[in-house]
Amino acid sequence: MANTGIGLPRAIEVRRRNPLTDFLTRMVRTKPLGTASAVIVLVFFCVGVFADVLAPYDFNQQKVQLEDGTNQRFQFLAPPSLDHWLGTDSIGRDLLSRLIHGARISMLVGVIGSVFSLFVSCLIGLPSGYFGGKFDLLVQRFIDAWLVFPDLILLILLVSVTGAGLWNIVFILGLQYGLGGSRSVRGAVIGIRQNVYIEAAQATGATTLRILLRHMLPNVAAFLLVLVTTRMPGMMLAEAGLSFLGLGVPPPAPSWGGMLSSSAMTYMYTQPLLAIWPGLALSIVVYSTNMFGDALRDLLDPRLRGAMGRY
Amino acid sequence: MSTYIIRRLLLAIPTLLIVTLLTTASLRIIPGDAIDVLIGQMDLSGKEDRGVLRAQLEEQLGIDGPIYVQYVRWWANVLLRGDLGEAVIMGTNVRDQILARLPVTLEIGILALLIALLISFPVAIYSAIRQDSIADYVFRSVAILFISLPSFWVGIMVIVFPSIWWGWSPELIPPKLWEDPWGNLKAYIIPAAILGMAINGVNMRLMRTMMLEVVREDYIRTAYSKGLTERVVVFRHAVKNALIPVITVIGLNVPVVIGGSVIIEQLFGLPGMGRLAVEAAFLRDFPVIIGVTFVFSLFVLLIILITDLSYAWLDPRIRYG
Repeated sequence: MANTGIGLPRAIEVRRRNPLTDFLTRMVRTKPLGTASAVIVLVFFCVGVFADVLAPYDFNQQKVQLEDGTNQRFQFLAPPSLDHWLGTDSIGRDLLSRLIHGARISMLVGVIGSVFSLFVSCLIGLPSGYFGGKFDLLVQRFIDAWLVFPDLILLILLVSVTGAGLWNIVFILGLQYGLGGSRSVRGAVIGIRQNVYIEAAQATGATTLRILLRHMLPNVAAFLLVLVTTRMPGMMLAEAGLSFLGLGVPPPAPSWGGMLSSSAMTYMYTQPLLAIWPGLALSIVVYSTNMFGDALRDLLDPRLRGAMGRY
Repeated sequence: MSTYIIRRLLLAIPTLLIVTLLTTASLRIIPGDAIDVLIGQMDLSGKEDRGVLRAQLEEQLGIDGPIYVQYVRWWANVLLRGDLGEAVIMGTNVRDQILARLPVTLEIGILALLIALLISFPVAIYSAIRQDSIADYVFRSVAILFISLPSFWVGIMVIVFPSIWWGWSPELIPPKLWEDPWGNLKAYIIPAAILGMAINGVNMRLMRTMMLEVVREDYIRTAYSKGLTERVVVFRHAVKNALIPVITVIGLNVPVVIGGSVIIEQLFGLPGMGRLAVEAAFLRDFPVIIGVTFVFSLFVLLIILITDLSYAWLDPRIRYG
């Protein structure tokens, strides 16, 4: 290519480019803010994954063993120092370590929750859009009713029944958002149902399951990716909100929302850093995910521009 | 029009039936467990018979017998006596509790909606007219920021930092609206503004998109080509037609306001319905939680109905047969 300089080989080469690198270049070029946000989200994701390695102390650790074998308790509400970069909380736990482990909880809820919600959305949305008719009507009535519940109130009702806990929250949030998202998946499926390749698949005698999974699903994949990134920030905020109310991930787990709960507020007057860091971390992650989702939506699905999720 | 209203009302009934079925059935998700927790909380001195107590509690919660019986009984109570049952732990009638707390939530909600609309409507119009200008970009970024900031964190900052710096803190017990309207407003305006902020972010984006569609309509082009000034085009033609999107947005906001008020009420210690739900969730007082969920859902359903009907009233082009 370099020595000929004529058009034909270049054109062939362009066609052979990896779609992923192609997409990434396009993203970096046209959406610098979105790319920066994606990097930030990725950083927080890695922090969550490697929390055990990165955190200087355990999230629940209140004392350290000295060389002579005795234990030394950490100071309560200590200001930032070389030992504790962000200081300690009201019972002497290292704030930085708790923040780092908090990233794990937020990312767990955001990523696993949205993947689960995607599964629920597809499970309901694909057949509902594909079959239509009475089945669709019945399912949509049910979804209608479900969406009448205000999010947080329904979450409180469900949490009060199942009890608080990380996996309960992930399950409930995934279900709640998944049912809401099934509406969008259904819409996307109805949009492509009339296409000739679906008809062709039906004509060649493909089973319904095969049509749904091999022909429908890949064609709504880009849309689903956008759906996931727009759901993630909402889920992370909802988990933090529930934990703030004391109905989310129970202590001593270091949820960012829980670190801002009313019982922690008492100590913020003496150590304001306790109020700033968890909220700042949460805001940065949620903001970046939102920006990333926005950029992704513009790139992948121009029809959706400006449409919003429920949060 | 009247046939449309009737049809719309009839369509709301199945939705309401499913909603209540879901709430009453929610206690059955983990059968027995809810009862066990309640018995565990009751601090028994060992004298009472657990079996008797369980039966008693099941009857009180209305979860003795098959689920359809419970469901019909629950509806009969609501329709015939307007009764939502008795609280198990909080010890009062659920309806009375909710009625006592309703005004607080209503006031915060309405104030928050007003604040959000007063800011987002003009901003959205400006953003749409000057699409892709620097101001448009700034507003769009601010909108995402508003959506991303957790309201409880903003609230904590507002409570903690002024108190540290100037010794100022928000009023804890708001005076009654009819006794001291000014003092009442002062107590509610900050929580409402924080709640409004989150809605504002959503609204700025939604309304901008909707306004962009209005601005591209033929009649706007005609108005421009007639030689009308931009001011006249915007205020006489665009804004009037943007009222429909505003109604849509208000309808979408209501569930968000309800969810947000739970957190704001808890943070500022305001005795509203959201706080009632949280208190009940802590005590696992199920009749109270179910009552609150029911009232909120009924409210959302009503708002959806009203927004649907107001389209026809606002826009003569929409006629329902």
